[in-house]
Amino acid sequence: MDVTALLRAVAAFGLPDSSVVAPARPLSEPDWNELLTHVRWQRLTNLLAQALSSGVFPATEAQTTAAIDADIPALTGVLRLEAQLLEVADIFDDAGVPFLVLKGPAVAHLDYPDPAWRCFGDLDLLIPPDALDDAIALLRGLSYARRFPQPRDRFDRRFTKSVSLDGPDGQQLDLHRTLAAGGFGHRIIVSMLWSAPSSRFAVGGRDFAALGVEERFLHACYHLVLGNAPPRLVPQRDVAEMLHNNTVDADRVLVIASAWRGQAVVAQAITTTVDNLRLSTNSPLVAWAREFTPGRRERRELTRATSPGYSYAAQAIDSVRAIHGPRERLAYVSALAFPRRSYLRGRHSGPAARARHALSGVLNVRSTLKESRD
Amino acid sequence: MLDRFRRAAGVVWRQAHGSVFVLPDGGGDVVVLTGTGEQLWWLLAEPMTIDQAARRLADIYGVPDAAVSRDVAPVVADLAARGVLERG
Repeated sequence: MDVTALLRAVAAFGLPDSSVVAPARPLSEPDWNELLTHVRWQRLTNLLAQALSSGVFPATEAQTTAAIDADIPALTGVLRLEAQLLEVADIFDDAGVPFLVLKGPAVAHLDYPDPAWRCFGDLDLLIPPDALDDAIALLRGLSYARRFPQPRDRFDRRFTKSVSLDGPDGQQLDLHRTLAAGGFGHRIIVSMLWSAPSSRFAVGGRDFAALGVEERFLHACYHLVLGNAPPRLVPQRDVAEMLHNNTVDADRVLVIASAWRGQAVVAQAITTTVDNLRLSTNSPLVAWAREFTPGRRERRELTRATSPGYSYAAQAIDSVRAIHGPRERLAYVSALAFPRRSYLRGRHSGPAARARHALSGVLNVRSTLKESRD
Repeated sequence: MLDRFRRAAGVVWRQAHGSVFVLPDGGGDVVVLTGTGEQLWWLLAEPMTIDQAARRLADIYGVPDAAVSRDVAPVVADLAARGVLERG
């Protein structure tokens, strides 16, 4: 059994532009169990259950029941996250903290034919950098706790990609300053995310703002390419839905990607999606992505950033290169080189572990610099 | 019977697997609506009285209004008590 091909068939379920073929007959029990494990990890239980119930993906009755049973916890989890969104929105609105909803809830309601087709496991909100500290303080009042302290004061609002917080009932909430980590993340012009017209959607009878359609497409591309190695299937499905909807203005996408120097990321996201989900979309972005050739430096950075071994040190070096201005660079490097004790305490078990981490960081830096020079 | 009911404000929901899954405002258990409960959910996107909802359901299922009305009243009361529906 080729589990990768089966997973792609699940991820492509219901996409009119896809020529991915479902299996001809129900899977054997061992194959089915293996597929279900991967489907759960990929957060695709909803699409699997739909594919089986509709008969597109042949299955025994027991397999169909198992797929639905596997999806119910994911579905109720999504509802609890949307309830959490309503609660957090009230607090932020009362305090005048602006926010845009990112990823799961926004994409589910705005880009999918049915929000039930898009599952998600946490909440992500974009906060203006100068409101990030206030937003964290407000959430502390709701018994949220951040996973790691910031290395230095003002680090979050200047440099961080996002701050992860755990809620009192174990729910996760990520407050984003920007959309990605590393060099590509630091080249995103955050003010552009706030100046563009937002998209609107409703949850629980309340109106929410999300990134505009092109910015949402770019975020899906960045998340697809830079989020996990190898790329997960849900962001590929997100990109496929947005390409299929034909609401994305290709020219505007390319102007923004160029301003962020992220064309290589966008091109890779599109070709990965089109190839894996076998799409025959006529979007001009696909033709552009096929033709696009990144420069040497961009290609190397992308190779590093998408490798499973992309270390924290290598990411920091790429960030330093992308951060604008010597003063900002110095502030970033000194915050990471000489962080507060509380920052180190949360990350390492003791002095020996801290020393090992520092040594491996130095070795990684040397190897990354050598790779850049070669 | 003259009170109008509608979906409660602040509930979040999804339609999946032949049912509607509703999480009332304030959390608690997810309520799964199937059959008549699901039909009521769709009807009560707009406020209406139990009699109006019963007439619509009677049309859908092709049964007398009075029979449906007797069944609908306790279902609506139960869903209102769980925070799925509200008066309005």
